[in-house]
Amino acid sequence: MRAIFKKDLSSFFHSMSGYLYLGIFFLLSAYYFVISNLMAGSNSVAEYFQNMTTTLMFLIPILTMRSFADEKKQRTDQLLFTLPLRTSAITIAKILASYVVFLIGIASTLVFAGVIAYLGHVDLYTTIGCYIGILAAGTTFITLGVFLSSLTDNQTVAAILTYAVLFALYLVTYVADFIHNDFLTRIIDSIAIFSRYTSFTYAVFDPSAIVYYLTLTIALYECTILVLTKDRVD
Amino acid sequence: MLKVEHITKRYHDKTVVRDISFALETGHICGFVGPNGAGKSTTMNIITGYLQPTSGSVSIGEIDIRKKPDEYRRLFGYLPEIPPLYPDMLVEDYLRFVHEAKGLDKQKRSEQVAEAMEMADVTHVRGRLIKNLSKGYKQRVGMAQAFLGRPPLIILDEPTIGLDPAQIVQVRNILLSLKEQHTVLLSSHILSEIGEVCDEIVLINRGELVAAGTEKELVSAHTDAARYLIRAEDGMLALAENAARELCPEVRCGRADAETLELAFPKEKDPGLQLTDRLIEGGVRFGELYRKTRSLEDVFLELVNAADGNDGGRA
Repeated sequence: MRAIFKKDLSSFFHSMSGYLYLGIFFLLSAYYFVISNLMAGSNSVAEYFQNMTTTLMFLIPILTMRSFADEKKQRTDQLLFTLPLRTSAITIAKILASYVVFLIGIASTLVFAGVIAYLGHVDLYTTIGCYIGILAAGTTFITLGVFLSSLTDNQTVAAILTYAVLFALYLVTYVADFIHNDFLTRIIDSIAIFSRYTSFTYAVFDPSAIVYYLTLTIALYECTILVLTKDRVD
Repeated sequence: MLKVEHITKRYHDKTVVRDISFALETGHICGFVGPNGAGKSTTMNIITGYLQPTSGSVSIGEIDIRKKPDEYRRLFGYLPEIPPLYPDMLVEDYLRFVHEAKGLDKQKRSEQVAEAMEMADVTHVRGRLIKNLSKGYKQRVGMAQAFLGRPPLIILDEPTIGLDPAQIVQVRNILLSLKEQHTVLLSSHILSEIGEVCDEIVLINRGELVAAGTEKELVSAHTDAARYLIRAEDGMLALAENAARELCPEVRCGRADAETLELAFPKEKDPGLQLTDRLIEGGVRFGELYRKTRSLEDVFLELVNAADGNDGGRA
């Protein structure tokens, strides 16, 4: 598992994808910081993080599109799945590799929190809540991307699929406001992964949101295993 | 060593591999032969666990792939038809990655990677990016990863496909060098290669096992007659025909062309040198007399044609 993790992590920086992801992430996060905090004279990180989740919707597919799709295209999956390794270990290694790049991006935003603290007062609880929320949501987004990448051998298709699904889930949050049927509202609420994040931006630590992200991540991980082991000895 | 028992692979209503069974002895090189689309790669993918058979079992020694998949996978090295390479990696880094991923002894990593590179003759390109290598070198790097840790069984799917003649000779020499310490299962549709390298041959067509045995056994089993060709002037051929009939009344005679007579003696009545003696005694002046032997290619074509429902005719 360690070998696959290391290989995948280094592949982000041997190809353009790692630099592309981090470059765009740094640029956009700096932009949001300037607009939401410096220019608005605000010390709240909530709005900044709210924008960040939307940004991730566009950026996560860059991280996850290659994970399995590229292995299939290069036929290196024939090596991976004939190694003395379980599919679960390979999948976890791939999710972790993407997650580390995601963490590098998130860690860079601590600089902005530091600037706010230096210039004025930073609301510690809201900041911690926002970070916990984004780390939890990021786990789900990445696992979703890895799952969708396991469905195809074309990384562009994998990226578009991930983007489309995340965008649909994003829109669902707004659609819920126009629906007055209890049953439908409940269904929509259960898949509205973006709205779960909102409570964190209000400094409300919502354990149910954490459980929600965790459950969804495990479900997506299991779906990935199911797809990958469908016709294989594991 | 390797035991394949009644494996069948079906996709919906299409059967791509049907009830294939064979066993491979330790220290042997086995050629897995069949035309394109015969089911060679599917069978190999089943043997390596990349694909699950619809029915049947595969084991190496006493270890069944379904019961102990991890243990089973430690026992072989596999080169698929398309070498599983990461183009952006250096050759040595790639081999170190595979060594680690295979869970082989970390203490021996440098030594075993160097050994695999030596075996596949890629040591001098160890520091090059895989994407910059020629097809032949890529193939050999793929082979090197299969040799890592010297697994008892090495499975190579079409290792010489797309290589130039010089590269084919190099790969053939590598295969022969493996024989001392490894059991090898090698698929190919290049019969000359199989004949030169393999101890035994498994022939499949349309997903079914058609024949199995050594080259000698296969050729012998599918030879119904001892055939001789005599080249002489037209008038002499009639004399030769008579001499042959005196030697063996059951002989079948036919003209290959105006100056060539083909004699087919029943296999058990092969006259051998007696034919030469009888021709000389009969006053036949001939330019050439030789025994026509069947090649593995002849047997292959005959079996494949027979399985396809065409009468390929025996040579």
